[in-house]
Amino acid sequence: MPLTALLAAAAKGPLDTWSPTFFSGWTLFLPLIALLLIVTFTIDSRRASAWISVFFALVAFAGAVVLLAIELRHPAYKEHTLTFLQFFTGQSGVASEFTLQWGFLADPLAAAMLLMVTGVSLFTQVYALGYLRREDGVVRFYLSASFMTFSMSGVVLSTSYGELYFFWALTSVATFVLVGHWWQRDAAARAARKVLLVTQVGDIGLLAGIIYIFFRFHDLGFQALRSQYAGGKVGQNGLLIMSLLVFAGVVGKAAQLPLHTWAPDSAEAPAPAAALIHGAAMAATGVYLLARTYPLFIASPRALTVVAVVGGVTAVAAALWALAEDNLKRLIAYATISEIGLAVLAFGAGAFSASVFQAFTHGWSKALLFLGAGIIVRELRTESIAEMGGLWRRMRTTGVLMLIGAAAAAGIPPLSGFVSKDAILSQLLSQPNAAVTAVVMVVTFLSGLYMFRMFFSVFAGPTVRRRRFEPERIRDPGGRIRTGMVALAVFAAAVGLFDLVRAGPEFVRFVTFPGQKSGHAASLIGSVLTSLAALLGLAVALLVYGLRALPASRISGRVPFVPRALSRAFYLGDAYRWGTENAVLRAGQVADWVDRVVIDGAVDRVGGGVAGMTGPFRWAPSPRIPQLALGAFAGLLLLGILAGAVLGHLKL
Amino acid sequence: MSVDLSYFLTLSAGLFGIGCFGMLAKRSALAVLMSAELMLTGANLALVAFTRFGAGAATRHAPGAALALFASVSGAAEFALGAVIVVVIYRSRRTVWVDDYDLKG
Repeated sequence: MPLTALLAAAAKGPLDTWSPTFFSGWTLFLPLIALLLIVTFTIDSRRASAWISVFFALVAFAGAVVLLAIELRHPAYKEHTLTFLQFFTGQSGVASEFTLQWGFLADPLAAAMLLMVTGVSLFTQVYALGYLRREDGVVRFYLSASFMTFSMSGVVLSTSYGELYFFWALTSVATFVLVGHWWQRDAAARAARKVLLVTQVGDIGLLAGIIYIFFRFHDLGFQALRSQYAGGKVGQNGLLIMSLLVFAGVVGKAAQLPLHTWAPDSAEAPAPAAALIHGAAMAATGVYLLARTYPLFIASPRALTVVAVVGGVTAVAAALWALAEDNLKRLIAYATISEIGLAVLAFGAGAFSASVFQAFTHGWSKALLFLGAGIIVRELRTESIAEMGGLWRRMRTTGVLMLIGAAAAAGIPPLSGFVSKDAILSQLLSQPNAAVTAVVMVVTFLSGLYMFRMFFSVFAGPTVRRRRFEPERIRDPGGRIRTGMVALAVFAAAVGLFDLVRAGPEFVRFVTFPGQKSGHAASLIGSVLTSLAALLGLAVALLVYGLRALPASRISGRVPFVPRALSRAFYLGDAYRWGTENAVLRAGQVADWVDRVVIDGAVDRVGGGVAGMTGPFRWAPSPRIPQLALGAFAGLLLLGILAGAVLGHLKL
Repeated sequence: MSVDLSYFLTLSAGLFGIGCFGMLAKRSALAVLMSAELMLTGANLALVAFTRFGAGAATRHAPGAALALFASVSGAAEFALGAVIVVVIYRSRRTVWVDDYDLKG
């Protein structure tokens, strides 16, 4: 009998019989096991710790690949849960008992995001083997990278809001640790504090939203709530508040407009950490949460409009800031905000699978760009692109890899960024909305412009001569640094392949939402418009920054205030600092005064009053402890007698 | 002969009384603390006895026993804290005799 069962299974192939949730759980816990192994056994060995972390990241990546293969064969929602906590809410009826389920799920959306998370994590860790070789804190980096991977996988595989919030908070902590990796530098320490504070604003919104959802629906499971949002249990205004609170968490984590200020500062992190945060984390937490809670947003069309507006404004504003930014790493960080903003805009406009696809393709290319920027900054010992130039001759490998990354991010056909932007435009064209289409076009154009402004400024023209700097000593990186970057470049170029040829396992047909139109529009208008916009950006960048036929200084000389406002990010960061110093700190001072003078004062007065009442008895000799104990017993006895008398009198 | 509530209450009162006497009569600070523990044990015993034999003993709820459990835990914590205080006082005064302590310092 077992033999026939085995034969039946063999005939179906392993992918039909393997459990997808087994592989998702496996992938989730591997980085945690690596973390525990390093802490327990190899905390003193840089080499062993790094290799343990890389090995487990590799196995986790393999697990994610298997999960993806299973999901491609059987695209269905499955979850494996255990009861973690069970308590009673004290109300009568069905809702009196609440069970908190913990587990992990497996569906196409999670499988795709998990592949991106584990892949980016693996390749940045391989890169870090070489990049951090001569640095302090290698073990700390690998610990925090494993921790980050674990918490991101947890967010992606959570089955309920409660579990998701737990891992969500873990990613906040991990981001804090990674950004503050070089904590001896004042700028890094300050950036880490800023990351934690600014994302917490969004996180508190998300927590409030989750609490609200729980008290209205008495459930937190994604699958259980799926059909309940639109069931009329909660009115339109309630749904709007819920979805806006959930969106607040996304705004904080994905650095959308009101809470974007942490992202450019977080470029202070070491290159692999920045790649992990900007490539994987912002997409895998921010856009993923939107995609996972899509039923909630569908039930509240007004919230979707807000999402679209925030995403669109962020995408355009961050692209403009990237145009004026001089710091290489901050420029890429602004580019990240803009790309994620585009995904959020597409989500708000109803292009579900294209939005997830944009976040997915963005992860690979942006991680690659951060890794390349890390090498360039290290070789040139400056972060200002005005002081770079002419690296094409000296760093050919890095140049080619950065070209792939920039072209993929900018949406130059046929690389992955083009395919995802094309998917967005195609899905939007099927439900015509001129404003959204125009914004997507503008952002695509701007992304071509700023990406190639960056590329030409760094690689074209003459190498800028500086004091105590010898361009002859610039070396192309080799070994593991190159291995990690090449692997990322392959993925950045090729993840859109199936969608490009419109055959095989297309992403937009794979990650779908029931009832949503998916797939590419039949017409080629979207592709033509996307490639035109991106290539136009490339051409303008080539004219202005590559060939210097129309130098940028001549344009900005006419309107000097525009670049200044752009490079200060419209003074939003300054406004926040002013607001913090003048409103929040003042409020804190007032609260401090109330605490010290009013509350402490009241306590001190009470104590002083009691001490003052003892004044008439000061002449008596100080009582010894046995006398005090006797007095206490006597008082107790007196109280007992009194109580007995009163109770007896009351006939109780 | 059957053991009923009165036996436990007698034992409980005895423990409490011994503790009370020890607290007043003992001169060593540690012995005073131990006497306090005896009193606590007496009270706990009464609580458990009422849970077992008193009204409502047939139901499965045992609030008295739960209370006794908490009380003994906090009693242990209290003894640890008291012993530490005695050690600290011993270091500065070189004595554990409560007669020699005065509160004015």
